[in-house]
Amino acid sequence: MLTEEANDRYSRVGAGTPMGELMRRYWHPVAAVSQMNDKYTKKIRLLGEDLILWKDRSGTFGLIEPHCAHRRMNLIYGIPEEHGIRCPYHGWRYDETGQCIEQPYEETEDPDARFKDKIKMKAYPVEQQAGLLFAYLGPQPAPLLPAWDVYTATGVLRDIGYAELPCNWLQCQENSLDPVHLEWLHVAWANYIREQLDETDAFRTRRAHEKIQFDNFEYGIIKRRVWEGGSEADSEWKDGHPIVFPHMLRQGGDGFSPKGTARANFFLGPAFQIRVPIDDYTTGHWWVACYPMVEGDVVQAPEEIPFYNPPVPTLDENDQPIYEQLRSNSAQDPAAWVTQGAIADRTGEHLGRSDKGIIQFRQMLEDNIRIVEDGGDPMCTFRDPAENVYIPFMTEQSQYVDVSKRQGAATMYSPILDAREAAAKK
Amino acid sequence: MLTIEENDRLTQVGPGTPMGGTLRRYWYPIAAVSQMKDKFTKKVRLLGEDLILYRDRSGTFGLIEPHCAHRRMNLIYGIPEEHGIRCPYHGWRYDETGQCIEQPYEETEDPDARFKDKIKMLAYPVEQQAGLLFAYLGPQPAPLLPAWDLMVMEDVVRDIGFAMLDCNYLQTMENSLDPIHVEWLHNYWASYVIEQLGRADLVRERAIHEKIQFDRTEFGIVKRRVVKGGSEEDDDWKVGHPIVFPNMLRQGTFSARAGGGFQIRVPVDDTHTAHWWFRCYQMEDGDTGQAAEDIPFYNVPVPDFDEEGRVPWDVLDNNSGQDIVAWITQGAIADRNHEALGRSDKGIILYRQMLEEAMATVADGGDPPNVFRDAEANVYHHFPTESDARFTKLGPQRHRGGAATKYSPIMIGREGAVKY
Repeated sequence: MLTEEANDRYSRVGAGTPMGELMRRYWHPVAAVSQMNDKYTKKIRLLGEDLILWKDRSGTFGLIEPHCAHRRMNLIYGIPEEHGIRCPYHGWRYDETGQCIEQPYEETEDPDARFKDKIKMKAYPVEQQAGLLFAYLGPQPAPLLPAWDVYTATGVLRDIGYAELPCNWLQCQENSLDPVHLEWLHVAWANYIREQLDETDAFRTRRAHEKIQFDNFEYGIIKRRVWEGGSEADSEWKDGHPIVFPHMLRQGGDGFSPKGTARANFFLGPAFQIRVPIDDYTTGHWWVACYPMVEGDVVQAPEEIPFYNPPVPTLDENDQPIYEQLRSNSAQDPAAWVTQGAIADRTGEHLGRSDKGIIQFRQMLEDNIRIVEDGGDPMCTFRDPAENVYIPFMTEQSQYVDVSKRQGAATMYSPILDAREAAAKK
Repeated sequence: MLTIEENDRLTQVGPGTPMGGTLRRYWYPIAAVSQMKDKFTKKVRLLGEDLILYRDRSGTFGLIEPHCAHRRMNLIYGIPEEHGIRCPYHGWRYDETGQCIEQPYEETEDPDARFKDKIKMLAYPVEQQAGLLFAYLGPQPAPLLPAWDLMVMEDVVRDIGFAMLDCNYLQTMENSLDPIHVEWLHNYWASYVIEQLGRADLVRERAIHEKIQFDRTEFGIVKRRVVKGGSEEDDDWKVGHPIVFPNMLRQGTFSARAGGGFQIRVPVDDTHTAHWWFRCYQMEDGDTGQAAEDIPFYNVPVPDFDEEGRVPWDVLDNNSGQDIVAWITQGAIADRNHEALGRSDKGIILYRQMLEEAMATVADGGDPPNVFRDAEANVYHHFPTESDARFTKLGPQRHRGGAATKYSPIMIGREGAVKY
């Protein structure tokens, strides 16, 4: 149970808040490159700030405050130029640093006019990695984009799922520090959902958690579990499951194990769930997944990495659950997160033995908030390129779960797996 | 005219308000049993409180706060068990008193764990009567469910209509203390509505009120009227029309084919009223007794302007549709600071006075009217109601021109019932 003050401290992300300042030390995905194939501008909201992402005709991306500094028309209507974006109202043009580089009428009246030099809009750096566009809203110099295996692995295809969830980011992330929910939300409740859908042949076997443990490591926390009937020799305990600070869950084993096996076509390689705080009450949830390439696959250019929207479960017009939407883990989880409230009221929670990981994660947030307050770099900040090359993770590889079934996470909606399944059927 | 403060006092129903405290001394219908046949959970809002109604697999109903005490997932997604409801997130299970009775992982780590004993969610009692599920949100001990005649009589068939209205409960109740509106809203305006529908054959004669009177009774207020062409010998005056305190209107003699009913106005919150049309009909050849879950439930349409701002005349051809547009268009909470009450409104003033008295009684620690605690004195409360003989002479449309009988599945199903 937290006080209201502590709950606000760990959940709210606006500029100037403790958590907002910590979150401003990281790069956050704001769009898939392929989402920008058919457009030049896109509204973005990140950490409570409204912004416009734009692409100019030379392919440079910029992220700028929405309202033109001249007379405040919104640049969602902006005109892309060879270099920079032009406001449609009077033609002022800005580059990706936010600098105004053209004011046509000023220059007509006075070819030597330098008014534009005084105009600089707020703008943030954008970088591309693994088909995602990342933004950094914190103080300069910006750190490096981390070379997590999910982003830098070669010999894989990728796809990118996205859902906007009407709840605070911390609920999503705490879920990852909570192994026990798997046994209930994704097994017992999943079976009840299938009972409602008359799909009892798809029932899952519930195994109880016998033991859980959480260990801090360089990049976050590793959660471990022993299932009923299992032991500490299992991958679930030995390898565990990494939560990457501050807002990611790693999935997909070491990413490459079953290469060349019959399951290889449907094997989930390194994958992240990324919980991006859009504002205090909204989370941009990304599923970035790699699939080891199989025969016939060709390397993807960033703009070819497919983007998809997994459905977000809602209640129907009679406030009843829509069980058809709730078959996958990545729908069951949001049903929990969203109904915990816009910001879960942690003054009314009651944590027990199942929730040690959540308590440990909150402590890690507190430690890193203080590091930032003291002027330091928090965990997972990379500034030395030599140490930021390829950062691999190992994730539990359960002998109890058949990963080829496409029941878990966003694999149910993955366009890559859809394509492979369609090809296999031919 | 009320002051703003007086209006707030009569209309605010949340926890801790004077009227909310008084209204919490009564049982309220929250669902028809038949609505729960195809589901195990249902969102309920009552007196400003959000709750989840659930049914476990043994058939027990519970009414519990929505968010699990553990990590606050909403129990609308709860899993019904043989006994109690289980939160889908980590399997905590609660019984109908709100007591946590299972915390699986706690018990795995420590078979002697007693953490669950400390966890009790807010929960309220639920009882079934006449196919309705009633909830009581007030202090314990809860009073008895009143044995109103139509709720407990045997050898009848029943149906249950429902509409959610975007207005405060008091507007809907005050309407029942107001005989004069029948002559205008349900006769004169109804005829105008019928003209718009091109059904001149259904035009209603206006029953001109010559005299009205309101008398307090054991259970509430009886309103009386003499209409032009009638006298004090008519049932309209002699028997009158009962309003049951605090939130019901009794209708019909029950002897007539259209049966007898209650309109029950349930305060959902300050700006919403759940309106129930509960009706009993004498059994006819071929009728069989109904189990609680077989009592049909139907939705009464709520008039709303269409996309082009047009009035939906077809749902205004009946008294219920006409009443609803009056209530809703008075405002979410009618601004009684700008009303102007006259001679037609004596009943409304009397009813407000009874509400004030009930609030004073509760503030003094007493039971307000219609709170029953003695089972022997709560067997069968009968209401005589003005005969519909006079209305009959106005034309056959009266039989189903009223209330929700237009939509009643039982009336629709009875061959030979007078067509609307």
